[in-house]
Amino acid sequence: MSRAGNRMLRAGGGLRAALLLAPALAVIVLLFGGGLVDALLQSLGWLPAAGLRGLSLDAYRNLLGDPGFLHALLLTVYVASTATAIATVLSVAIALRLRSSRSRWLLPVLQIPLTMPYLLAAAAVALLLAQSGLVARIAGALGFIDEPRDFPPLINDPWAVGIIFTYVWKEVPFVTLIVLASLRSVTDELEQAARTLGATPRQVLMHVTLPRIVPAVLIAAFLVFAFTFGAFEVPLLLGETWPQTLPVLAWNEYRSIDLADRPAAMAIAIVIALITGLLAAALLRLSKRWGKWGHS
Amino acid sequence: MAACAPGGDGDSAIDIRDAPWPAIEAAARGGSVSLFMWGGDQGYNDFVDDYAAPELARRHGITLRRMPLAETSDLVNKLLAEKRAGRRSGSADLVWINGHGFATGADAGLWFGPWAERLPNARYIDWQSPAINRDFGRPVDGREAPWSHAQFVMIYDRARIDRPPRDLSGLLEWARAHPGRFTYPAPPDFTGTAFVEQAFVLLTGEAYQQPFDPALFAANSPQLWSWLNALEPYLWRGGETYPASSRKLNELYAAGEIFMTMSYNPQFAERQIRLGLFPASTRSFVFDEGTLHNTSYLAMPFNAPNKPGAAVVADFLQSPAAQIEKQKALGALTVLAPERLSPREREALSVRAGPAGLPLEVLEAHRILQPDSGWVVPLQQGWRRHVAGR
Repeated sequence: MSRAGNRMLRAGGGLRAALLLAPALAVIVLLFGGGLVDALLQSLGWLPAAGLRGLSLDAYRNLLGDPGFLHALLLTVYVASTATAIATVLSVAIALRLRSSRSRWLLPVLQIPLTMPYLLAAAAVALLLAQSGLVARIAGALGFIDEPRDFPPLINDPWAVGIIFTYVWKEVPFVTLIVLASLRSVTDELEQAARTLGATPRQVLMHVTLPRIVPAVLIAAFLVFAFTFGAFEVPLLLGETWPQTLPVLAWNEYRSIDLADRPAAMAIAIVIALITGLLAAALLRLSKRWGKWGHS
Repeated sequence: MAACAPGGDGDSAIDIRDAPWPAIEAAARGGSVSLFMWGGDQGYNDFVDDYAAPELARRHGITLRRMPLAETSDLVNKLLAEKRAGRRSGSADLVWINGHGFATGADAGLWFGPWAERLPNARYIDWQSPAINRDFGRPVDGREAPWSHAQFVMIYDRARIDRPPRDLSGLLEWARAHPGRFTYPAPPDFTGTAFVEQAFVLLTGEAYQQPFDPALFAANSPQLWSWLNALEPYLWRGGETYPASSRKLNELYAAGEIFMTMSYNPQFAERQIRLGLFPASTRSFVFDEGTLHNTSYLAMPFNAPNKPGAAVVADFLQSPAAQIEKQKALGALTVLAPERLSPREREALSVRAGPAGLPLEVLEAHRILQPDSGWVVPLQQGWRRHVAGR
């Protein structure tokens, strides 16, 4: 096919794709975009129904001066990146194992956490890991501890063990699924060729297999990071009183009995959206670069 | 701000602010009323479902639908959204709202009124009393009808504590001698906030009935923070974290991790024992200088679709018959003024509580007024900064 024809086909395909995506795009733009604009206005102090009619950056300025906000930001970054890192490494390891496994039931069993709502997962982890939880009771029955408070605090604890555990447990199946799909693009021939050329299994893994799946892994990791960065129900249930994660902080400001706190709540929400948005943009740029060397 | 939206809503032609009562009753017949209330107390849920709903159907032909809320502030946010969207006919007819929610809603003009002092059964209520005509310090102005009375109590396990502390310094001493066995829910939880407010009142000897005063707060709050911080190392988990809700606090107590809990319902211990959730050796106590008390109200949103029905339901819930039934079922205190009742009604309302609760005379002799709601947010924020985030 000629070069021009190729280009036309691509342009036509683009239009078709845009038309096909229009209903979904409309929903996203109207609901999501509308909500974002509304949140932005409220964060600037515009909420006439509650008698707020100012337009200023006060809410943002106050956030930067609030040690609670800075602690929350650090905690949120810590929780999201730790959970993402653990989930990603585990998932890649599991996917590499699963690829060579013939078992028909292993994958479905691994997918079970996917079907469970986060709220339920958090409640289950609390029942399991709390100081009066199942694990502590078993430890007590076996004589390892005398009473609940001898058990190390894993829920509402300073290191957010409970939150991270819940996220890892929920996210590993999701990331594994994506990694498995991308592993299909790594053909056996490529790996066999490398092996016949004298590469050790480790070299095959490091120089042939992993590079091919890195883009998919990074995208999956970003999705997990963005979600854990903005989700609030798990830290609300399993987090400490102080510091709180950004979404929990926003939620508390939102429910404050003083409507003048509403701009602060919305400003935090906007900051969350901004951070994940910037990350997504960075990832998009990166993935374009891989696109170039991936297909040349 | 239009606190009094026009009563001429779509569904009913009459304005309950001046229509004669029989006309309101007639307009209410055959309708349904949705009552939004905190769903976390099974006793109240049962009272509404098993007693109030059938009685209202029988007496007034009204279908009462109970709509549970996780927290009343959720409803305030919902109403605010409805107001912004211009919804003239909303989803809630009547709301059991706490003082914080009432103040927020009043600021945003979410409450319809005045209507409450016109109810026929309002004649049993002393609207001159500040415990009735002010809700957490905020003037009620007929925008909500009182229907229950509550008082804060401390709860302890007699099997583990011989003599409960009599005041805050006694509590601190006890905690010091029993590290890890006491804690309180983190504000903004309602019960946790009440505990902190109460400590503020008791430690500084002020009633805080006036609107928020920054200078007074700056002068008095350090006393509160230093007491709470002196207590902190002896709290559950060394005060590194606090239970997020009163439900969580009660779970810790039920599991034996802590030896004291607290409630804004004076008969809470009694009921938890009956339900088998608390040890039978559980008892209640109040501080010598008293504990907070407040009145629970029913408010009508500006866009309540069935205002006549809501008025009839509110009137029924404050009738002597319903108040007696509520006290029998829940131990909840009445809002009716005893001197306005018949001797028989008075007798029925002075039933003594079970062994885990406290007699009415003891509660009445140990009461301090709930501070004005303007003090709540500074206390909550101050707690976060000076106690939790220290």
